[in-house]
Amino acid sequence: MKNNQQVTQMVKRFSVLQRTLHWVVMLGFIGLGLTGFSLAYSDQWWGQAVAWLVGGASHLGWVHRACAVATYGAVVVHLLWLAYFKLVLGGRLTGADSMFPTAKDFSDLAAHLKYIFAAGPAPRFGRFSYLEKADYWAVLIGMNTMGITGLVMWFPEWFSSFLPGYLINLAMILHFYEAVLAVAIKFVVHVYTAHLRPEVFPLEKNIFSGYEPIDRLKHERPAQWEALQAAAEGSGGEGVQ
Amino acid sequence: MTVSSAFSRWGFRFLVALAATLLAWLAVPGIGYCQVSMDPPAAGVAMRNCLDCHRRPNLESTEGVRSNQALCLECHAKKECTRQVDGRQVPLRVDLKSFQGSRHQMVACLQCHQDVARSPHRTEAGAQCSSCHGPHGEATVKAPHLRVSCAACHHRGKALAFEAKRGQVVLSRFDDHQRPIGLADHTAPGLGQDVLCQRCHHPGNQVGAAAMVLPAKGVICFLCHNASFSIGSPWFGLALIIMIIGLVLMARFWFQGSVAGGEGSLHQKIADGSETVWRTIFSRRVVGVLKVIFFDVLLQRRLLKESVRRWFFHSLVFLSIMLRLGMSLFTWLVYHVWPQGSLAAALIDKNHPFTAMFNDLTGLCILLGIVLAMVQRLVGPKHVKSEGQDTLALVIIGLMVVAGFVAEGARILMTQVDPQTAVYSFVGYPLSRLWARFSLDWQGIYGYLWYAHALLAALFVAYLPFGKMRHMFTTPLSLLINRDLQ
Amino acid sequence: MKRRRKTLWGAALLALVFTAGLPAGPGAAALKGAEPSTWFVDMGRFNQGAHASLTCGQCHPKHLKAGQKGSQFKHPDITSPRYLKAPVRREYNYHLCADCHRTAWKRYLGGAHAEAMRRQAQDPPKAGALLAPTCADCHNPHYILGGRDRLALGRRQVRVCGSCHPAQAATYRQSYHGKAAANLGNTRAAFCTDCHGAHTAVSLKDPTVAIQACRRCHLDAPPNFAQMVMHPTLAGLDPKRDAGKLWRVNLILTVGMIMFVIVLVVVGSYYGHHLLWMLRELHHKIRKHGHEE
Repeated sequence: MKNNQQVTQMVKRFSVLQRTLHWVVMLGFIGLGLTGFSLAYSDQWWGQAVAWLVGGASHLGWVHRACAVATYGAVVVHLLWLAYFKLVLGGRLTGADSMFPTAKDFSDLAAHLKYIFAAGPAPRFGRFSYLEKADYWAVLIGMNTMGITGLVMWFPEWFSSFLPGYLINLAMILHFYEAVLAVAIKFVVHVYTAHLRPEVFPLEKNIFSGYEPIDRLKHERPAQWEALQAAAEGSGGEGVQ
Repeated sequence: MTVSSAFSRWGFRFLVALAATLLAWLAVPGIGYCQVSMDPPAAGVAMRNCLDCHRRPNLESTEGVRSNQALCLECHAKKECTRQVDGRQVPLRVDLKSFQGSRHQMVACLQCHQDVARSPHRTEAGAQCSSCHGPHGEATVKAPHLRVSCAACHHRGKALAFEAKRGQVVLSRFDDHQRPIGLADHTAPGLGQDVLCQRCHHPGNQVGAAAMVLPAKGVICFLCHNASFSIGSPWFGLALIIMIIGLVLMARFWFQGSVAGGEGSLHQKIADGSETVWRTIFSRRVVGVLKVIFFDVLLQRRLLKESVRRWFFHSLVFLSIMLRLGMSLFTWLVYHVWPQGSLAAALIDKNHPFTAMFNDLTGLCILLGIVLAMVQRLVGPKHVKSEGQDTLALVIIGLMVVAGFVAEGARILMTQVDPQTAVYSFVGYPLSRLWARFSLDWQGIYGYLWYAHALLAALFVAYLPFGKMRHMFTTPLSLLINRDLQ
Repeated sequence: MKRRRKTLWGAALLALVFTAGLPAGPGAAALKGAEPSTWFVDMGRFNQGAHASLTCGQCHPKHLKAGQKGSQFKHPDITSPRYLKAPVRREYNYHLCADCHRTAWKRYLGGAHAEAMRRQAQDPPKAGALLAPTCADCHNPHYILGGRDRLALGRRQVRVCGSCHPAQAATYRQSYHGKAAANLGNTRAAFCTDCHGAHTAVSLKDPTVAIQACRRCHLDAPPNFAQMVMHPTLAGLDPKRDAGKLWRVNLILTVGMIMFVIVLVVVGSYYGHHLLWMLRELHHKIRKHGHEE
């Protein structure tokens, strides 16, 4: 990896597939939130304005479903990739770079709270911090529950052929409150964590470019940096430098 | 000139003619009003057709107003127009002389009594004053009095009652001896203030009013409440004067030094000082000044630099008060620009869900900040400088907020706010339930609670330029000047 | 920080719009209900209405003859003890409507509102209780318009039905039908009478009855489909007769409450965590570049 000056200062963080999926989920999610809440609050002027913009209630529904299919498609592609990665490429889904929660995440959470209350130093995050993992799992699990409740509302006749009809009511309630939760968390907390923190402001580029500058890596994810250093030494200095 | 005088001459004649016609209507039954409907038609009298009565009058036109008045007065000008209540005849006769002398003489009956032109001929909603008149603000009757119906004050009848269903203090239909009384009087009597207030505000009243007549919220109350640009109580005036004296003393202290490096008379110093201010405002430096005001004054950047904890405690108090100040000024503005709007109605109503929640939440934040700061003072690390002055300031604000909440609970209890509305005062309502367990004379106590809260506020205002809290003026000023010197 | 502040202001403004705008919002305005009874006829509106071609006497024949020789009927009859007390809307002879509106009349007689009317005739309700509606309680005979489109009719239904059934109107507007049809003007979604029938006003509390209504649009709806609760409200439910629906409504309301608390707790703790985190990072940042200003 000694191509040119620029590459030597960057560490790859997201693959092209991951970047693409992020775009799809991001746009799909914005579309879902916009159309969904415009329907939920269709008695308010802004809900009616959005509905008018897309051409009425039925278009609102179809845009919502299209966004849902795209977003859920991204989740499916991601899962397929994971299977390919594990089964064909023989990759590891656990370990330091894994998305699975580890004991370190819980100690990081404790350390982070201590740091927030000025009782300790900032935790040394690895490649994915506990907050980023929480974001990831929230989407992965949330997309499935939103998807299931959404499908129940999309095909109520089919679902009620084997389920009691009031589950459609429950699906509506769960879908709505989970949407509130998702929007309140993703549009505020995730955007803040990723882009608006004083340490990052105004924009985190690595999810779009895929690469992260070395000095930011050292600062933000010291544990990953150390691991990279150790790996580089272990393999005779051919690591990312 | 000639035209206008001709007009006024003819206009005068027209008015005389109109008055004569009206008088003729009144004096001679059967001239203006068709009496046919009241009695079987005499032989030879033309039948009325349906639309003589049943055409909807256009209340926007003078003709419509007059025809509507004529229709109603067919009955309501007569002595026999009465109602049976508990076996007594209650008069429903509108006294024409007083009505036609009143300021409502050109208003159709239906414009106010919107739901009576029907059978059964009775009203559910009462006279709709609010279709023309907005609610009183803080200044007029010392508080908006939103739970008091207009007629409770603007009517001759002095017997009042609290109608729980509408949550309104209304004119009672019965006098002190439980005899039904007529409320058809249409004169709006002169509103002699003290006597009027005491219709409700006397010890042992039945309508849930405070026993005391309390002063209006004065200009010092703007800090946290929707208030009026008046003095309110003499105590507030005194506090204001003391504060101004303190500010003048502070300014004098500042001007004792040299301004802009020059020596000279006080006059010269003020002239130089104002020159500097002028030049700063009309230059690019004003951006820097605004930045200092925003970051250092409003957002307290310097305090955050020192300690997150101190910033947090300070902001709980400071930002909450700033928010309340902003909201009270906004309310004042909205009320004066658009008094009849739903936004004004929501903002001036202490029981409106939004306003109640906003007030209780910010109040709670202030109290929380005070308590945390006090706790830190007691058990915190030694390096926190705890001065007596500091603690006094905290105690004053803390007690003021506590007194405010106690008074709010008492207010909700004695005015019997409907629980479904009152729960939005999520501090005041539980307190009111608590106070309900003590069978005290809350109407009598409320005045003292109100004064306790208000006088602590006055004390706070008077103390501002003297004690620890003078930093509110000095710190921003020194920040600005330091900035300029750099 | 600045951005955060902006967000705060935005939130405050939004809260203001929602809370302060609510009393004047379309939702509240739409629930005002049917037009109140009045002595007066607005001839301008009457002449645009469906009954413009009728003269007063065609619907009020007795009144036309009042005062004429041989007529016992007086109008107004000030000697009558019911003078100015009779609720006109309830005492009009609506058989006259049936002269023209034969089918509607028959359907009304076979429906739940007429049934309620018969019940109340035998067992008069207490003062202040809801009365079974007559024709004019829903249709203002002077101003009713002819040939209105489906959307105008449907939105009027929500208003008119809602004046006696406010909880049902509110839950209708929260359902997909109400949002798509009444709020957004999609005429393919259901309005009140699409399920409950015009003039018949059938109760659909029983799923076995309701399924017939569902199948008017959802052709393949299985029997379970009708267990869906369109009006999740406790209003008008009898603990004995409607035990099944009561259970479902309670379940739905409880789940909603639980979800609300969960959302509140999760969002609250996330926001609290991030607010304090932001303060800490800002603190460090100001420390680092401390002496810029």
